[in-house]
Amino acid sequence: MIKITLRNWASGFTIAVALFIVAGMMTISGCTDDSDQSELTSALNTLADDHNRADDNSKDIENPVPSSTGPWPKAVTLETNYDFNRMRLGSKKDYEFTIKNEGDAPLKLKTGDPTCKCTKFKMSATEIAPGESETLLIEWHGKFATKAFQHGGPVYTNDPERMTINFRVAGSVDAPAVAMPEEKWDAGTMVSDEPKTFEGKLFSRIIPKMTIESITALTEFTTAEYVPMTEDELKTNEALCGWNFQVTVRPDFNVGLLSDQLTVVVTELPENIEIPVEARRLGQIRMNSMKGARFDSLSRRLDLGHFPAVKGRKAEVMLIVDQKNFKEELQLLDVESSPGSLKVALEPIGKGTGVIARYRMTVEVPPGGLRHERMKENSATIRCRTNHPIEKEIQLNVAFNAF
Amino acid sequence: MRRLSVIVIGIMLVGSFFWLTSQLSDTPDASLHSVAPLVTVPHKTEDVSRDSSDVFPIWTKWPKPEAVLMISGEQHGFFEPCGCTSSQMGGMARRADLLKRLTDVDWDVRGIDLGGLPRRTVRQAQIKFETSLKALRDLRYVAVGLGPEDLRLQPDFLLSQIDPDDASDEVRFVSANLVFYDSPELGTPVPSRIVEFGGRRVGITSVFSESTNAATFTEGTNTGITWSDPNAALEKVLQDFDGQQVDFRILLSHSSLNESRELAADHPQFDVIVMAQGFSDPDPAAEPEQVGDTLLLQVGHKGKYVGILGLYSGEDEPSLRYQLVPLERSEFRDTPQMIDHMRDYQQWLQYEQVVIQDGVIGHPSGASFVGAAKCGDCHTEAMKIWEKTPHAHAFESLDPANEREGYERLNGVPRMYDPECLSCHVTGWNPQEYIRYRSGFLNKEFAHTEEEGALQLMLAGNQCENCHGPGSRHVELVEADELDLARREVKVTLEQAKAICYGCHDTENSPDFDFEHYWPEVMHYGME
Repeated sequence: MIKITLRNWASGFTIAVALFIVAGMMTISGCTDDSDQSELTSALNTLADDHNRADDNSKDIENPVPSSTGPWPKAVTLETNYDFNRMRLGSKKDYEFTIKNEGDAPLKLKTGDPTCKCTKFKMSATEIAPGESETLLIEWHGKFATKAFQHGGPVYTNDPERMTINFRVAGSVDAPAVAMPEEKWDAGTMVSDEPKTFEGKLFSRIIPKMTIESITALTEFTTAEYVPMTEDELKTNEALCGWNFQVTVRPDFNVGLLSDQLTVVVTELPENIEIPVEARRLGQIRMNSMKGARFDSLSRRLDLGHFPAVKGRKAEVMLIVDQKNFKEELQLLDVESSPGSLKVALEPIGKGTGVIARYRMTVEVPPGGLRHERMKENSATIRCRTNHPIEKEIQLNVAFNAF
Repeated sequence: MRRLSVIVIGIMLVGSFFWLTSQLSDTPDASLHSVAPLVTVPHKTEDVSRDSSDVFPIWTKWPKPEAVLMISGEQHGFFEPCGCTSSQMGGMARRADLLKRLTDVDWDVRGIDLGGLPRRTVRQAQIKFETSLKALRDLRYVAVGLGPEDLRLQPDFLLSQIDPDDASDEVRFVSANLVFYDSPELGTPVPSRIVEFGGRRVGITSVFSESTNAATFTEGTNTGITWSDPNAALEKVLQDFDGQQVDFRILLSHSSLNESRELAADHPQFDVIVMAQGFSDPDPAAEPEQVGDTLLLQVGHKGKYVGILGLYSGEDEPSLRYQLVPLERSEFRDTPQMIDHMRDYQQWLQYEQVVIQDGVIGHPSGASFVGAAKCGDCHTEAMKIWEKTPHAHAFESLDPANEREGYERLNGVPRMYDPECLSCHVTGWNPQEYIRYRSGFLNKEFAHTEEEGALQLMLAGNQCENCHGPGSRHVELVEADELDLARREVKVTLEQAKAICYGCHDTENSPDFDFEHYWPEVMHYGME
């Protein structure tokens, strides 16, 4: 039987206090870690992030630390940059950089995060003995066409004079065929009733020979003919083969935007080449949203959103008027709105330039009106009669909810 | 025993004291190891002062500059971070946090953007462009250059974005050699912008080279944009800078890299040239290029990086310090102001129904979508596998209220009306063009017919037909007992599957995706 004496009680008490302190430290440690985690990261990893960490790139492994007393390793590299030059879209290229240890102690290495996940970034070893060499493999997968890429990453070492070595590979990634202009072929604005013809080029910087089997357009308004590029033109564009296109767009499409596409079938390519073609037929009076207004210029729909009926709301739309055929000041002769409470005002923005004149049209649901909703198909309409000889009427739809 | 207890408790008390003080000390920046060391660049060649030590974060390590320029460019539609690195860099929200850190230490900062804000030309791109401009105004930007991507939005639209008569708006489009409608008096773009702050007079202009012009516009077409020779235009701007006593000159150059270098040689008066068409990920540790005394900077693409340029004029200091800052999520927080802009943007997309407005296309196969429930009538086992995958809940994950995995990244902003999100999170959309196929998913609020109204329920999530193609013909063939033809209609090989997966799981949206790793989790074969 243990006698409960004052001495035993005191010893037991001090041990209990010690245990309490340890428990407290563990609790505080847990709380502090959580707050650090929420403090320093603004988003959680996705499922994909959790599953794809490189084996030798664990964030749990610390960076190598140089010795404070020596001896030290010495990381020597002949090169840290390499140029792949031109790559074909979808292809991969790799290069091995050599790191040699010319010091007196083992050189420890840890790879950091590469600049892009298209980059394979792998050391052949995590430690190099004095006098020995290992390699860093960088493989680049050209998933996107780009004029210039430069990717790589850091390798951390315990060489006190080179604790971080940045390696990079560079180059360009070419699609098999390049259209010039890039992105789309824009016929611009049709200003007369004549068809518009313009030129474009299609060439390859990596395929020496291509054969066009057919060219088709989505609509009847666009046709194209082509001839081979000359040697000088090929040289200017650094191309191996290519064609000059003459594209003609008819002017009789509906007012607004013509979105067409030329599909070029080439024997040597597994996929067709699709070149967007655009043209515009604009009215004499064009409308665009002004800063802060929600206005769709194609459907001419102005959205005033939701607001208290007692406050009302207004928004501004810019009108651009061609001045070639109309040099007077544009005026609204008559305004009809449904509901009738909408107000419309028009004022010039500066003077006309001789080419265009700009106006600010203010559309207002006045304050203090009735509550009502005019959204979607039920939107309000405004019809304005103008003094323009061609565009005698302007119409727009106004959506709002005055609550 | 008592002595031992006292010793133990004494050691524990001392140890606890030191441990607690280390845990509770405020070193929020102690973990910021990942950014490369500062590059201190001499402005004049005789002012060499190289500092190779790690001096990030710059707002604690640089001497306070007189004036600071925050330089960005070629955002290419990325208002939020780009996933093309392991840590999803960039985004306006983190850029705003960087600005806050600089202004918190009383640095006088203005922003300039090279241009290249949008990626496409559809209505969504216009709305995003306008949202980006609003954000730039909040971030104290004063000048935005005009690149090919901006000009493809057309002069009418660009004219509507800036009111040159509005003195409260600091932002201006600048271009030395582009004019809209042959009318420089429109006030947009302006040939240059001169801004006085921090006791410095900074002049900013932009240029559009001949080769960039040829790559952007078809010759002889009327786009409303007049191009002129860059060199002559720049000489005029430089004369104007001299007349207005500008003491620091910046050129935003939409030219090839070699053309920019030639401009530096031909116009040495420029202190800095920001070059477009460079590397999407410039090396923050690399020293900037120099031609003579002119610094040539690259700030990367997709808003992943921002260049910080500090101006000094003391004799003991170099006249410039420069650091390219990667906007890493481990270093910078999302800011409420920019999250609000994203919320407004998403609401705007809903109001304008861009899902419909930006058009619809026919599927190349000519068939129409039938929905996973129809597939599951026969393919019961494949259906069970699919239902357990995140693909089945992909549409729900666009609404943060559903708290699907990773929802925190949405910052509380729903994305159910955003074509750039819908195109991979529902069925019947082209994932790379962000456009709906006829008979593809449609938000029920936008339906005009009963048939359209059923499309949301029928095609929510990433379903079978996104990989196997629209199933209407397959169903017809099955019903006609042409089973071999029916199989061939929708058969997908493993190689084809890989390419299809990468259509959505691309490096911008799913940087760590590994097909070989994930395929076993969705694998399914044939009929049961």
